[in-house]
Amino acid sequence: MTEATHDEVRELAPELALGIAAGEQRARALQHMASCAECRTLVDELSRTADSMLLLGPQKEPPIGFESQAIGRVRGMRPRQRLKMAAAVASIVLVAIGATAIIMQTASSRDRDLANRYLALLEGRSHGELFATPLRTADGGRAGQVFAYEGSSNWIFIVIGARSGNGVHDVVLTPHALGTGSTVGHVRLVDGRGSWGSTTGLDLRGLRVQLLDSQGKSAFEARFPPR
Amino acid sequence: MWAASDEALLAGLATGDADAIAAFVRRFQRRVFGLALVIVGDQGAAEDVAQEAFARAWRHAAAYDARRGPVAAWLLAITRNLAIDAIRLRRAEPKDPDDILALGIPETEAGPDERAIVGEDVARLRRAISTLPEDQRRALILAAYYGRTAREISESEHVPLGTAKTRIRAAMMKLRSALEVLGDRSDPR
Repeated sequence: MTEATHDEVRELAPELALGIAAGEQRARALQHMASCAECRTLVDELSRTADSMLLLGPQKEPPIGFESQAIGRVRGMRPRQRLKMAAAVASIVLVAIGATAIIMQTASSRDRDLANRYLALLEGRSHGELFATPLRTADGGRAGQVFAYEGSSNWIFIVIGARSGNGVHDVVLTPHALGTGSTVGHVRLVDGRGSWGSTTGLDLRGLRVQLLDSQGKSAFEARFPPR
Repeated sequence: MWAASDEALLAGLATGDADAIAAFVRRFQRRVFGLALVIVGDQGAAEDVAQEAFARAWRHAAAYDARRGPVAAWLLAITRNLAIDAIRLRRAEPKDPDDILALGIPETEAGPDERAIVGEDVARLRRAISTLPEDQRRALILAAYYGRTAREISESEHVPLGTAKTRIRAAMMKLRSALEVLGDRSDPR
């Protein structure tokens, strides 16, 4: 993947700031921005502009009970849950950093340079390459979270925290452009809990993630926004 | 607590302080719910999105960077991203872009810091958007609120991809220019 030119990044800057640039374009632009303060400044300013637009959105009084439910949702995160969440986040960062370390040990200087940029992005996490989308049961209930990291080497990490579910499930990834997916791994659930992670060469935008039970039925599903 | 700045409330939220959590939710719930509702178009889904936005704000409060904008914009960006995920999952069609601006700028109940810094920002932005050509305004709102890509906008607006990109770019550059002077003055950090 070749680095975008200065003019290309300036042309693409509004779409980068709005978070709607295609994955490969964004990755190429980020390579250039890593060494171009002028482009970073432009995208930062446009990002602030894009976020400020949201202040123009309408206000509406939520239904009765919303406030207490929202407060309860925040306060209901007990210390144990916080630890689990921290562990999940730590896992993905460790997996990614571990992989980066492997790349740095074995790759060429060009790849080491790329790995350094990965680390910078992971530390900053300010460019939107780290995605998360909810994992849902067949009836739409929340059952966990799917994290993904987009770069020259994409990562995906699934954390399942469902009310029930046991046994081995197939992990099936279906790219946005294709109707059929491929089984890329397996995850064992114990009382609805489990996790799985891997690198993937697939485009994350629009990617459908499914966990199929022993009968081949989709027990859990998530989808990342398409381009 | 009620007169605390937005940033102070967010700091309290991060620590799990009960009073700060309640004050934070009360201060922003109308904005968060209003934005979620206008994007997802369904009250139940909007409630779920809005509640999750507050939970996510709590989880990521430590990552907030005041240099990148006010607390309200940060929280609303979280809300927008969750709402976009929700409509993608439900394959819901976005509402007409003009529905958002037709609802008008909210008379905010923002904290004192936000009123001082953001109020003028919002008014300036509002004026700048009102002067955009309609096609640019529609493209901008589809992208900024609904996360629509240039290709999706070209399809929904029945224009070539290059035209959609040009509309987005032109609109964003005009808004950036409108905010530039104010941004320089209000960002001493």
